[in-house]
Formats: sequence, C-alpha cells, structure tokens
Amino acid sequence: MTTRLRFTLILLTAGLLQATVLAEFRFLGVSVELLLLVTVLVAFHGGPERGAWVGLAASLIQDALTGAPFGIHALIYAPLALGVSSLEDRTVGASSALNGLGLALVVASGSVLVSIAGLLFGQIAIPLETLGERALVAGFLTALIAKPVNEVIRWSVDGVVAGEIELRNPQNI
Amino acid sequence: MAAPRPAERPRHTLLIILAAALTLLTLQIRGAQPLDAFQQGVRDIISPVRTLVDRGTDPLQNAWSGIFNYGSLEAENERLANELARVRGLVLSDEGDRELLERLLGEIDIAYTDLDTVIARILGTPPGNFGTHLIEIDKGSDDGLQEGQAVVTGAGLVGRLTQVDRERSVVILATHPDFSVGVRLVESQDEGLASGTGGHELRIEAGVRLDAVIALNEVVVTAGGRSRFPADIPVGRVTVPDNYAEYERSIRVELAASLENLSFLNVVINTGEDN
Repeated sequence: MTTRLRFTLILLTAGLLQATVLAEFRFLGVSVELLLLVTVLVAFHGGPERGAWVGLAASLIQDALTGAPFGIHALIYAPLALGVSSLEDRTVGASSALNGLGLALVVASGSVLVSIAGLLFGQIAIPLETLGERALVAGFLTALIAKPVNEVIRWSVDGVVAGEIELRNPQNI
Repeated sequence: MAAPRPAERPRHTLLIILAAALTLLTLQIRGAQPLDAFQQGVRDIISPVRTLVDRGTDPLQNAWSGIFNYGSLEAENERLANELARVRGLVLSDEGDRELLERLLGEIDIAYTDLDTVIARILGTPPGNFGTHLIEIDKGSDDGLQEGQAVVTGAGLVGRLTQVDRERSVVILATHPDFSVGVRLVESQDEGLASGTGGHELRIEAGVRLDAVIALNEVVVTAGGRSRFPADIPVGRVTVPDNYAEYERSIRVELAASLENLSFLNVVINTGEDN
C-alpha cells in the first residue's frame, strides 16, 4: 500500500470518527480533536512537507464536517505542522509523559489559534472567557488517545508496524 | 525513527497551502455556491452513518453522561426543584399577567399558535469544539426546512436555522452573539434590534427611543415586517429597562423559552413575508 493511500485511508477514517463517535462522547462539552492530532503526528514522524499537506487535507475535512468556511482550519493546521516537525529531533529521549504534555499543549494551541482565525474572519463566535479552558480540555482529551493513533501514524509514515522491526543482536554476529 | 525524507521545501509548500486556504476562504465568504454545496454533500453522505452511530451508542452515551455529568444533573435537579417552588408561588400573579398578555396580544391580533411548524428532535451539539450556542436537530431540507427559519418552543423564540442539510440542521440559539432579531415591546410599541450576548439573555441596543418608558417585565415579541421571522412570536420579558440612559439604551431581555434541557423544537416554516 502506498503512503498516499495510507494517509487517505487514515484521514477519511479520522474524519468519520470525528463526526460520529467522538462528537457523541464529550467531556465538559468538549470532544477529542482527532484530525488535528493526525496532522501533528504526521508532521512529527513524517516531516514538515508531509505534515503540511496532510494538515491541509485534514483541515478541509474538518471544515466540511463543522460547516466552517473552507480554508479556515488550514490557516492554522499547516503552519502548526511545520512547527511541530522541527521538534522531532529535540524530543529524542523525552519521557512519554513529557511527550503527552507537549502534545496536549500543541493541540490546545492549535484549537485556540483556529478560534482566533475564526474570530478574525468573523466566522466563529465563541465566548472568549471559556476559550482557554475548552482548548486545554480538548488538548488533554486528545493526548489521552494519542498512543494508539501514534502507532497508526508511524505505520502510515514508515510502512511497518512497530513490532515488525528487528534489531540485530550483537551476539549473533 | 522517521523514514528518510526527500529533499523538502517546506516554506514553499506552506506558502502554496496558505495561498490556497485564503483563496478558498475568500470564495466561500463571498458565497461561492459550489463550495457550500460540496460541504453540504459531504455532511449528507456522513449523516446516515452519524444517525446509525448515534442510535448504536445510545446506551453508552447514557452511561457516559451519567458518569461525567452527574454533578451537573444533580445541580439541574436542585435548580428545577427550586424553580418549581418559585413557579407555584407565582401562579396567581402569573394568571393576572396572562390576562394582561392575552388582552394585549388580542389587541394587536397575534396568531402565534397558528404558525405552520415542523417538530424536530434535538440531536446534540454539532461536530467541533468551538460552536457554542449551536444545536443540531434531526430535520433538514427534505422536511421543508430552510436557512433563516425561526425555531420556537411553546414558550417562545429559541433561535433560527443556520445550516440546513438534507436530514439534519443546525440551530443558532438566540443567546449566540451572532444572533439578532427585530423585536417589539408590546406595551410601549417601540421596536428595536435584539441581539444575543453569549450569556443567558438578549440585549436591545438599537431602535428604542431614549425617552420611551419601558416597564419592567414588559413582554417582547418579534417585530415581523422586513424580518425573516413571523411577527409576534414571544421573545421574553424586559429585566433591565434602562429608562435613565443618557446616550444609548441597553435593554436586557430574559428569554421566555428555556434553552436548557430542550428535547423537541418547532421550526416555523412560513416566513415573515407569508404573514
């Protein structure tokens, strides 16, 4: 299966999950930002260019699902992907908790920036007093499901499942 | 470790993507029909799946809301008990108010209950995290619904339709900051523009004369006229008349319809022009 086909499959599945199951199960009225999570993880594992293109596709799906004008999410998702991709080398050796916290903050920032873009273009009217709280909840909810999604994204980027990689045992050489 | 990457020019890619995003955004804000139709098509395709998932996960959703919304359910229960006690105490005075309202409505020939409506069930909030003051209902263009139609309950105005797909629609509640409606104050007969505040009330800031004497609890109804809403739908009561404003009035109106714990709504399918 080609990388593009894998990305397409993942994006369509993520869009469907975002519009169905994840929209139904909310915590404090906030749901998981799966499409943003996919964008961030693809940028992290696959590099800035792939991240930006996947970010564009994910944002267009998000626009279609939420009824937001086409392009509003792309203004944030694509630059965010570029920013996240530069973090890959710097987070080598970081603990899972730290990675999770970083991911939650990135998703929360992305959510806030999308809202601000919406406000600037007069498209989204949100109570500003709850914006930060809602974004943080979205960030942490999204971080909770990041581990399985991360495995899927690594498969889509590298074409192998985590368990398939065999390291050479020095004793056998 | 990430796979080897081809030579990348991320800045060029980003510029192309941002240019494309801004182009799409401009086109859609200017009302490009194909883009709207495409979005609606995508939502229409997904709609049956959403309905299926919604029904299939009903027991899980109930359990979920039992676990995570228990506190708010208790608070809501307490609030409703207090409200019931308050309402029982006010029944007598309300009867007097009702007589006055009926007399006034009779005088201005209001036929609010005669409007043609479609009953719709509330499905929840639409996908996305930042669309507050929006709810999704289970009726759409297949049932004769159109964007801009008024949404009411037996108590009065709730909002208007803002996005209509074939089987589902999104209602923008009257408390949404983007919501506005032409209203008339029944006793003083002054008209103004009421807007959502993002809180639990509406505010009339334009149209009403500075010297108009507005009574506390004065009934507010839709004005009709050039509005897309039929005239004389009850909106609420004045809670702050702001009679002593020197420069600009800011009259606060408490909605007659409760927007919490709604299950069913009525969409008014005849417009103001029909009336």
